[in-house]
Amino acid sequence: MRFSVPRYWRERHSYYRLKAAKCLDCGRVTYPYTERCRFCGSSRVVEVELVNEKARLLTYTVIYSAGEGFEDKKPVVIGIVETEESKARLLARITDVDVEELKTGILLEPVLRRINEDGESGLIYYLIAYRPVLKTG
Amino acid sequence: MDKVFIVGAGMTKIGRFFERSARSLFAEALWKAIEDAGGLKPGAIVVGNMTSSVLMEQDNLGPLLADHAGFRGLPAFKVEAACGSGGAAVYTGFALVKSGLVDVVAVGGVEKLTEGVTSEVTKALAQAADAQYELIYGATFTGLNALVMRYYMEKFKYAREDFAYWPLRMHEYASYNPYAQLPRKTTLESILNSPIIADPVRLFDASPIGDGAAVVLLVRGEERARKIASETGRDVLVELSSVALATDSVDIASRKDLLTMESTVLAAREAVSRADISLRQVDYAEVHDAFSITGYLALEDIGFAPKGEAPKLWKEGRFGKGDKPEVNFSGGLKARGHPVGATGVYQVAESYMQIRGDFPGFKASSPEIALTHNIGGVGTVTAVSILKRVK
Repeated sequence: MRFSVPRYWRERHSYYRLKAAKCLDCGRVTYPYTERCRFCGSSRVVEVELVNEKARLLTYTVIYSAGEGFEDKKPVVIGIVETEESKARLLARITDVDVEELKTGILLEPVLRRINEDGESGLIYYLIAYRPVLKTG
Repeated sequence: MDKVFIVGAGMTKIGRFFERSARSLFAEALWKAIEDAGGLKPGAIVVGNMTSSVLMEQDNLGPLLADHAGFRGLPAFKVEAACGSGGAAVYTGFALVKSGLVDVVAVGGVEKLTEGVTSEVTKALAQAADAQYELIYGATFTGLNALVMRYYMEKFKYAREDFAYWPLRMHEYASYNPYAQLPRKTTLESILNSPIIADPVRLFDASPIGDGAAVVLLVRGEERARKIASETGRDVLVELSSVALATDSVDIASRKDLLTMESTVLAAREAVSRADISLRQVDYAEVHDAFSITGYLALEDIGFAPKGEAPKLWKEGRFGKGDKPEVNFSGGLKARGHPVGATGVYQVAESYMQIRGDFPGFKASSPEIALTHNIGGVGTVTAVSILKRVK
């Protein structure tokens, strides 16, 4: 990617708080936040933050043929997750997991990760990724 | 309003042409179409293309292509809707003719993917997805389709093998198509053992990277079309009866249903309704199979197969020679090839020739009504056209 600083910066609430829009008319929660509901067009939307919610893995892929800028990050694991309370769906990097352990339905938690960087002097992309919730005791 | 007719078609072979430029490919397809229509010249040129800005570092593509084909001065512009650019160009050209603004329009598409190395091409094609919320995480276009494929397999209980029957048949059909990029038969074994690009999508599930150009000539009014047909010694007229376009979200996570390409549902319904036919009347279809999963979803979302059943019906032999509809005898995106912005125009050119009866590949059973289906993104934008034979 070759994002300008403002392009990255202005999305900070979406990227770091996972700011989403809850529609007071149709009830849907969509990520990222938009001023109108992307399903029904209503302007009666409120902000919700998904960053405190755990999520379930709906589907995933392991990318072996990566695009420009990610060649040295292979394999790249991407998934679509659904958050536990708001039932919002978002695409994210799945991290801290062996490829063999990946399974749909597993419980995940958000965590900050360094995802990419634009060369040696460009932007460093820190973003929310999801990792499996460790089973305790 | 006057009807719109297709009176000529031209295509280049699809391949990796390091010795050819986009201008030269487009000029070849355009002049083939003009000759096919008995020398009829266009009054405007609409060109579908996705990646010229990124891979060719070239904007202003319409005038460039018009000029280098010998048509300096004509109205000419590019239409972009990712892999659906060709279909969107057909939609635009149809509107120009139907409205009465231009009598003869050349609707074309051209793509030159081999100007970049694989990771650059992968990135350029991925720009069909949401840059800020998908690509930033390292998603690729194949990766996004892989997410859909796994979800489909788990929901409808399909095995990896069930998806191999799509490329198997596409390669078989393409082996007869002189324009195809991969005109050779393959085996289930080769398909299932091909390298994984983005699990569960393997190389043989994906359409190849290639260059190509296609053009169809559209005219307004039956009288004009009939005159051209008689001058070129043909007794079949082909009407472009309707073209519809619809959209969905660019990002796939926010969709209501990950397994329904809503833009396809909407565009197919609209095109069929505007053509005043029922879907059951469609004899022949060219559908968008960028990946095996896309081909199956296309059959379901157009309405040719119930949700969850396309892979099963396909494996049983449905949609082949003698069925209704017959599907993708060109070899599809999978094996005819997918010169991205030209694909939607290839589909219309092929279906036109199938109705005319002179498609130089695997022949359909004298179709009277054909449907073409072209997608941009992971089901983000769909163009559907209906072609009819007129006695």
